[in-house]
Amino acid sequence: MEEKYMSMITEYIDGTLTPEREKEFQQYVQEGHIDMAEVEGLAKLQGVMLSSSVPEPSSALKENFYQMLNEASEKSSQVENDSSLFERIKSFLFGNQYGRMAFGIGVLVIGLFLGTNFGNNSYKEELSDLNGQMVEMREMMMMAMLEKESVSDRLKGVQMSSELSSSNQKVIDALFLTLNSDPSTNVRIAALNTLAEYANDPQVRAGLVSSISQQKSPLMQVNLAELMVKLQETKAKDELKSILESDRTPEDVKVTLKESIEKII
Amino acid sequence: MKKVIITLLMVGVAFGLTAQNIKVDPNIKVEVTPDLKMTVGPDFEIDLGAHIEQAMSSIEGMFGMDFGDEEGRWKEKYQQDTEELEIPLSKPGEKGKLQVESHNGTVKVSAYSGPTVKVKMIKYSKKVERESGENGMRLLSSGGFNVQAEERNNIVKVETEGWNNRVDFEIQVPTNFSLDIKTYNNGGIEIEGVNGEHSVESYNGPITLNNVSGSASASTYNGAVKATFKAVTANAPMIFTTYNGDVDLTVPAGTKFSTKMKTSRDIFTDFENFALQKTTPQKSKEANGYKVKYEDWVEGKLNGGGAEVTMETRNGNIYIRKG
Repeated sequence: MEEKYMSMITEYIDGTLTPEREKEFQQYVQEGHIDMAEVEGLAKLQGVMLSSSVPEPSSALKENFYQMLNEASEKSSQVENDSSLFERIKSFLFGNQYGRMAFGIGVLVIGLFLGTNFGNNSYKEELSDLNGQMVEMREMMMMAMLEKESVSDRLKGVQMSSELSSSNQKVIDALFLTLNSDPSTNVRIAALNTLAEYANDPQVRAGLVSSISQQKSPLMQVNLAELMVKLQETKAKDELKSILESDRTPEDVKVTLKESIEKII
Repeated sequence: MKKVIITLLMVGVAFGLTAQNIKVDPNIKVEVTPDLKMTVGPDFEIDLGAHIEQAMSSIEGMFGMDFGDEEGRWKEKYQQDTEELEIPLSKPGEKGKLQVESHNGTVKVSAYSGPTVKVKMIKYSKKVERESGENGMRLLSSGGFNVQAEERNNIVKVETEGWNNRVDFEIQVPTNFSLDIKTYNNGGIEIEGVNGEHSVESYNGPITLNNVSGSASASTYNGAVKATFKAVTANAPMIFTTYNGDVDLTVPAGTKFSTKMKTSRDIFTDFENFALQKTTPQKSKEANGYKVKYEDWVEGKLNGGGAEVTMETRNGNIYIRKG
């Protein structure tokens, strides 16, 4: 049957033919273009299709379907693990610019994380180890410098000691040795200036007090006396008085020392 | 005698004023009334009586002898003997070192082009008397000098012992010489043009380093410390200390150092490129105790900073000058 009759037949079955189209339809039937029996058959079929219910799938069918799906997915997953999943990630990461950027940032973050958590530990240890060695070397340098013949070198030694930590007993001992026995007044003054910074440490303070009687240079005696005034160290009074009583102490130094003693209350 | 002191004081006051770049008004009148009150200009009055007493006592302290009329008597009683000594070096032309230790007397050291160390000693001793004194005794000899000089490996040592007899030294050394000089009473030290590492110490007397190069450490108690450098060794720490007197340092324009200064008076400089660092009192807890920084230090950097140069005085100003 031809197409143009087909649409007229469906319209006829549906009963939507216009009177003009009806006449035309009847004409085609009379002319034998449309077989009425065939039209009746089609109308009957449509009636059956519309009236018949949708068949429910049986439970067996359901099981079979899932089984088959599982089987299929199992089969395919073996392949996909190797290529397809990988391919998908790859295409996700490198398929576009954002992916690539995200990947780069991700690597960086992981790198940083690993670097700070694992790499740095050993690095830090090494660093503190090196630092300790440096301090030791500086200590040795300082001791060596303090024993040099040149005043300038010994001054350098005192300066180095002030850069080292006060908690270091070796450094403090070396400074006291210099304070009490260096032949140069100025080197002793430099040692005094450095030790004065640690005068709040009771041990250093005691060392400074006992150093008073060991000083023969008036400048050192007077500088120590002034420091004692600043610290208000009453224990220093006796030490200072013994200098006052010495015949070797010049009169003008005695006057200055007396003033200092009076200022220690 | 009082008149002499008054004029001296007036000169001193005028000098002090001009040294501090204060223009002295030519109209200022200085009047000294008989009761020793001095008036300078319209506004200030100085009680000279008190000053004279102070000056007298400090002058007496400085020279360990009486002043004024006494000086004539001192000259009458003492005589000078000059002795000269030439010490050859074991390695002439090479660097050397001079060590001088004296308890009474000045030391002057100057550089010259010769290869040896020349020592001139001026000894002061009581005059030997020709006639017997009141008790029928006359002085034959007094004190006696013990001057020792030795040379070993270009190190020259000159020493005097004894405190009572004054010996002044005038020494000439080759230009490249390091100096280590210690004096005590009448112990002014003057150094001229020597290139080396210098350590000079006195008690009574000013220290003057003129036109020297290298590095220096200078310390006295009564007297100014003045150092003028032709060139300064880079990275060499230096220290200049006194108690009564100025600390006056002159270095070439481009010199770099970091200074640590302390005085109860004023600090001056004519360097433009001098950065003062405020030192606030710092108290930092450390592993085993405290570290306290006292605020009376003034710290600064010259031309960006460098080796540490310490300058300390109590009764005096500090000057850092451009040479």
